[in-house]
Amino acid sequence: MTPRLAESLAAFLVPDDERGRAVLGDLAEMHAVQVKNVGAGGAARWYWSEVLRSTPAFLRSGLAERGLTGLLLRSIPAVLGGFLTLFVMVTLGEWLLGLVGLGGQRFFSLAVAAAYGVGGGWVAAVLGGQGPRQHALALGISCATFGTVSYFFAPVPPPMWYWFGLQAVVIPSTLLGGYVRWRAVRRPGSRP
Amino acid sequence: MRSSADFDIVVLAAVAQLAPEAYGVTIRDRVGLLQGGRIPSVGAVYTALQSLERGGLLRAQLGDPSPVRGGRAKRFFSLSAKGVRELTRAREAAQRFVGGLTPRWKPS
Repeated sequence: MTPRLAESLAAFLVPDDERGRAVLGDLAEMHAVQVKNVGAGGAARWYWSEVLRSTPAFLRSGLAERGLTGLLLRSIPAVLGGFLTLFVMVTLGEWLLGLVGLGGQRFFSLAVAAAYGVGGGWVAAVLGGQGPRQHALALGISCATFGTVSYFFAPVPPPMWYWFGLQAVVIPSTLLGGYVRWRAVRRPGSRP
Repeated sequence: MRSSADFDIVVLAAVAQLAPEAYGVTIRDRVGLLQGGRIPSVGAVYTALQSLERGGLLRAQLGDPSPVRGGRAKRFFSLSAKGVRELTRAREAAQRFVGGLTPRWKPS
């Protein structure tokens, strides 16, 4: 049995089509040989190392597949669309929290930030077309980077715990939005 | 340092040698052999195959799924006419290079 987490990472990096599934099949076949040769533990370590050393090539390949035009016309606008969605949701959310007397309560803001992240991730995934989870991840990383930069440059920075909380929530929640979209459009036989 | 174009030629040669049994696992092993034991990552082979297929140098055909592969099918590769031409050109270039080197240089 291949290591599930490593296999999920590999499945995340390769395209969700017959080419990507063939690569996962190749890895599974080589893993089975490794199990016979070095045992289950050694085979799991081999699988992880193979996935990790293949990651740059998989990423390069994904970018080459999309091409510069696809990146400029589809992927970047998709991430910007997700970002805009997040911004609108945060603004509306803060306004609604203010209406019910919870304005400025950072704990509530953090609690609903996860929902905003799911929404933004879903929008980025829909707009991106191919690779819904990858677009959601790109949004999560962009938001985390933006959050870090704005924390250090804000005239009155929020409490440190709030910033850590947002960082902990933003990538998993946007990824969840991308995962929801991926589940809706995935082809039969795909695995997370 | 070996460029990606050189690596693509090695992958092309591996497919030519292995056809009709050229798929990810066998290609990776053969490329390792051709490179003197330096086995490439699955990702590097996959990227080269993708680039060669997109360039029209390789054709791919899907095999049957098998349990050892988690129910996934193999993708078998073969050279297209363009791929054969490219490999022939690379072989002739290598022969010219070696031929030009021999009169002046002898291994110690």
